Amino acid sequence: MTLWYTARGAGLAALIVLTLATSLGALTSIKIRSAAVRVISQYTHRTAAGLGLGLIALHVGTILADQQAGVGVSGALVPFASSYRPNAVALGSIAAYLFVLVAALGLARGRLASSARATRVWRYVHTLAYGAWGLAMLHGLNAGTDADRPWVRTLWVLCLLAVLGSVAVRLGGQARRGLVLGAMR
Amino acid sequence: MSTLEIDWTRCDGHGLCASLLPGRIARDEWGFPVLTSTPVPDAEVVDVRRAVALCPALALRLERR
Amino acid sequence: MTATLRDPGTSTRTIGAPRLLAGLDRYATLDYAAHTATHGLLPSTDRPRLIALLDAIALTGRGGAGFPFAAKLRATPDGATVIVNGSESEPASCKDRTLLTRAPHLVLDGAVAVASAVRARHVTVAVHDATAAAAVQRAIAERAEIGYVRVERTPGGFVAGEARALHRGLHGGPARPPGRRAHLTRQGTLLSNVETFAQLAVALRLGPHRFRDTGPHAEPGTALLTLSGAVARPGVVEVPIGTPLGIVLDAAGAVGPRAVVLGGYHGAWRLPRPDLPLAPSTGLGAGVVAVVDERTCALGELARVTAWLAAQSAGQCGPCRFGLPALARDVASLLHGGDPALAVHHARVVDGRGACHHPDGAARFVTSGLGLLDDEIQRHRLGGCGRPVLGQLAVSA
Repeated sequence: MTLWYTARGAGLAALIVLTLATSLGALTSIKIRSAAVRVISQYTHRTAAGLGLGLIALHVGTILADQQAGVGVSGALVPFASSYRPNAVALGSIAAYLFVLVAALGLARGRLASSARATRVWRYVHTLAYGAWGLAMLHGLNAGTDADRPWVRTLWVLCLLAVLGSVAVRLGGQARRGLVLGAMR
Repeated sequence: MSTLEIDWTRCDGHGLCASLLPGRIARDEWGFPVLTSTPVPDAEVVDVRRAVALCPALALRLERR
Repeated sequence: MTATLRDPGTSTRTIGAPRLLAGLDRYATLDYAAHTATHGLLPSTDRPRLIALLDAIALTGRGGAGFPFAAKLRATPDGATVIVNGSESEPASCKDRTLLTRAPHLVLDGAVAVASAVRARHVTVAVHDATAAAAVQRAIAERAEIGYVRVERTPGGFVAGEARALHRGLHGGPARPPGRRAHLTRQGTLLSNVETFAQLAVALRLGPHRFRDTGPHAEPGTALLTLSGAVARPGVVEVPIGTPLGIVLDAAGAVGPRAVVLGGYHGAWRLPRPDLPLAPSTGLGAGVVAVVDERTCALGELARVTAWLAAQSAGQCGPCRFGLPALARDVASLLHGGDPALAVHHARVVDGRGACHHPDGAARFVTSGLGLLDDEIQRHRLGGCGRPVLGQLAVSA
């Protein structure tokens, strides 16, 4: 029973922590004066991402260890191969893979700065994080057994607002810079 | 010996680099970096690499010569 | 009346024996028959012999940067792409489109010689001017064996004519310089100015000894100049390298020049010293000799071109995007008695901080102008010089 509770808790915690990571990632573009704040924000982003990956591992591990979960190793690793809610679980698997890819490239960020093509690739791949987050949110909604509880629903909506809000701020900043550029021509 | 180079087409004047490497990078009136020296002795490579990794636009790079 | 620069119908003249402009006193354009009658057949060559020739004549690029062509050829791999840069986006220059329109075969000879020496996979003549492009197409059509040479129209624009920007534009990318300063030869491309290829074609026929018959020892040969501004007879002039400025100004009909902009708008303002030798080593650059005289407000001319240079920024790099307009404002303020120290400061701030040399060139143009026009600056501080800005320095639309 503990395994089951741990699995659900880890899943929810992963979603919250990864929401934090994604939001902070979106906000790196805004120009805050204090470098200290920005450096802390970047390090928090990375820590949250790492923690999120760890919580995903815990979430998957406990589900596989739990005989009654009905997912199975192939069900977890291969999208749509789960006997329990195959589509919903698949969303989670794909999200996890994307997060791993994004994080791996993120670790190599400094090294990639040397190549012009690599920096472009880095940006595109890292942007997949938004997609991974979205899939994770849908996974939680459809595969999560606590999705119908009011407090879980509230948390879910807060996560949604956090990331949407951060993206809006980022896009707004870019639009404002575009206006400045336009005015200068 | 390594050198610190800026890809000006990526630089957006965030200014993190100048805060992290105050002895090496100043900022002009529009916020863009002014390199006071480009060669990086081996002892400072770690600090410079940190700035390279933290630049939001990935505009810095460390070139090995 | 100030004569202004017109399009490639412009006159071509020579001081001394013509090489690039040979035959153009008799023919409006040299078609292939006239070209062979004038210059003779193109001798064949190979990579080692070509490099040896280029070393012997010390040919440097005629697009402004003056890079040794032998070194460029050495660094070019086999199977490279050869690009003839005829984009000529320098407003005060028309030597390249004149050469392409009236003596295209000479340029093609040079391009083809280089192409066969490096076993080039592609040869492209990049041109902006429509007349010149058509002339090159016609010339290619006259020579079945060089049908592989392509003509590409370029969009025009000062920065788009820069080597790496041009290269990018031709390959489907944006016509803007990339963020990294990598040599084009390392990307398998040999790019050089129209006139460079034409000079090579002349050298192949003359051989190193006769080529070195004219011009100084260190920089033999001739150069094409574009005379414009306060001259009675503007146009393209071929001169032996090292010809004193005074001779050229006399031939062009300059009366009472105040200053000369030498090289182009990335070049420098110079005093019209008659003994100033015109050579790559003394700042000849892209061959621009733009004359400013006492009838116009020279400071206003400086301000006008600086504003134009600011508008030419590709806008990719912060120091150029913000710094050049600031520089232009500082120079304009001099007309109302402003402090030149502001312009000097901004010129220093933008220098060397960008993906290409546009801010550096603009800084050089302004700094040299400020150094020379001290009288005018003082006059404007005391109220003005009383002269209109006649536009003797051409800027494109």
